[in-house]
Amino acid sequence: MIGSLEWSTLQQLWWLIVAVVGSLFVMLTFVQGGQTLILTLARNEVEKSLIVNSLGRKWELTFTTLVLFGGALYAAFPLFYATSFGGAYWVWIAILLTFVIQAVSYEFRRKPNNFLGQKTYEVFLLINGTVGILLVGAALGTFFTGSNFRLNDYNLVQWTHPLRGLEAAFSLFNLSFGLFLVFLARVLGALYLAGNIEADELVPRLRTSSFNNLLLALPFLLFVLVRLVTMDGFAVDPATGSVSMEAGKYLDNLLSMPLVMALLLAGLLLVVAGVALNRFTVSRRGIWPAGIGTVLTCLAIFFLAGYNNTPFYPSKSDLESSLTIHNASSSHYTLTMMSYVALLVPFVLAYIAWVWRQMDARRLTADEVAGDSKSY
Amino acid sequence: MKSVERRLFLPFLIVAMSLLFPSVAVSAESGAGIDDLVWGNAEHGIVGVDEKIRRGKLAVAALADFKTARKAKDVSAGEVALVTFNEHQDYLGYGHLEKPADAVPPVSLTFYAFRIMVGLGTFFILLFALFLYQSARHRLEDSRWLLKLGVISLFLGYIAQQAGWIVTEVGRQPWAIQGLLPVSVARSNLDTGTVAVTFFIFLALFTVLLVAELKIMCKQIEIGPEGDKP
Repeated sequence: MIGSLEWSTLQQLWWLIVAVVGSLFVMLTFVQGGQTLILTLARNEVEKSLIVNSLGRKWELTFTTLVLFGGALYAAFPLFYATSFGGAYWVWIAILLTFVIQAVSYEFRRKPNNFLGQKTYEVFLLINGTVGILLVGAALGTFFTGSNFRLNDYNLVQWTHPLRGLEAAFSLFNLSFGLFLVFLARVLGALYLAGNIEADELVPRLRTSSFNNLLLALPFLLFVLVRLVTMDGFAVDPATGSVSMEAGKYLDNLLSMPLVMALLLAGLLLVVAGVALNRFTVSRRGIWPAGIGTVLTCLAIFFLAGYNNTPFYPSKSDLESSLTIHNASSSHYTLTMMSYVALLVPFVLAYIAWVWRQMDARRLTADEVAGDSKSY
Repeated sequence: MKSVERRLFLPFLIVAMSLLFPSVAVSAESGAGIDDLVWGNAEHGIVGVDEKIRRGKLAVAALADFKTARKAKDVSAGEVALVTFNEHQDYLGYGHLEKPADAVPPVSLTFYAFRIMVGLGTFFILLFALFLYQSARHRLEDSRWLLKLGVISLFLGYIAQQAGWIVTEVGRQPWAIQGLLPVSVARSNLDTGTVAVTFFIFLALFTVLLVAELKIMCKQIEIGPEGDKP
């Protein structure tokens, strides 16, 4: 059934799946954003523990979604995986390390005799939420600004910059994109915590924090959007497969895919609406519109990067080495088989949603944290 | 007494099966030897590695010709190259080897690692059976020697696991994909310095985290299950 679909249709379908998973990951970085609030927003140990325990019940979901994102790219677009992970080596290793120190920090932070001290583990969580997300953003920014690699006739990658990927963080566009994601994560973190925690003094601070962080995110967002619609973009000639620079390519993508434009605008509006809901009304459900808005915005960004004859992993060093969803994809057979497996995903998602509802059925209180022998 | 016997049936079954396992491993070895695989054995129709290398080099050259022809948009030259390639493609990976000995993994390391893994695996089954037996007799708390052996065996578990990885990763050499892609071609072009730096970053970070973990666990053991001591 799925096997009778055109190869190019399956490639587009799998870029859609990758985009959905990647967007869900960005939405779930409320965990990382929340981690950056521990040291600044909490006024005492009880508040700190409330934040850590609220996030601690969710951090694995964010991490597994990141892994799933990488896994989907590996299976559906293996040439991208081989090129980027073997080439932009240091940026991926750096991201990995910020997640290594995150995983243990939740477990070790409050345990007696933990060697490095509570503060160190809180700083680890801060590093994961700032440096980690910044680098993820910079790496995603290269979908538009291009990377420094060359593929030979046998698809073996040669990275042409000595920093092997870390150079991505020194581009103004990528840096802005990364910082936008960092502040967006803080917005989402503050919104999520405000809805998830029952604490009279902390919640108002969380409401203000989401608003302030949105203000901080705006300049970076504006810079990214303005650059995106004005910069030269990478374009593929569908007939020959050759890649060239095209003025206003991403603006052209937006105009020729009105649905993507609608997703982008609706997404950003929903994020603002979510923050306004928490800031200016008594409601604490701002995470819902803001979370959905984040997913829509990111979907638009992924679609801009990969659809409409655009190489999603362009090379600055050698345009012809640029990767598109067509030249980097798995075989028709593999994509077909994976599509059948992907039919099980809704069941996994339903299970996650059910578990999530169980966990968040009641707001987390200081008493619950104190009374739970398994609390972080 | 009867109920004890019934409870012990499963462990004894496991032990009996584990004793069979080494004999299966031995019988698997009585096929073609390394010499047959490397130098060929006309009697049994085994192709030697030197012949595979010769055909592999033809496949590698044909693939290069095919790519050159396609770039030059020379359709007929491309088709000729493709015919040669299809003929020899099963030996593509051998085209990257220099001499027949290159196709042989480090034998003694794989040999001993495999025996350590299987030996320890068999020992663990016996050990678990003993634990089950003592546990069924409610004598586990009194069996100090068994409990000590259990603690030591924790580390034997790590050794068995590492030996298993040696069997897989050393034993597969030189192939990333058997016969098609040698590790020397499949590897990324990271230089040894980069790999070494990464190794030491992980070594340092994981050592620090291991120390933290051990300190936390020792403290928790000291506190005990009741949690009544500081």
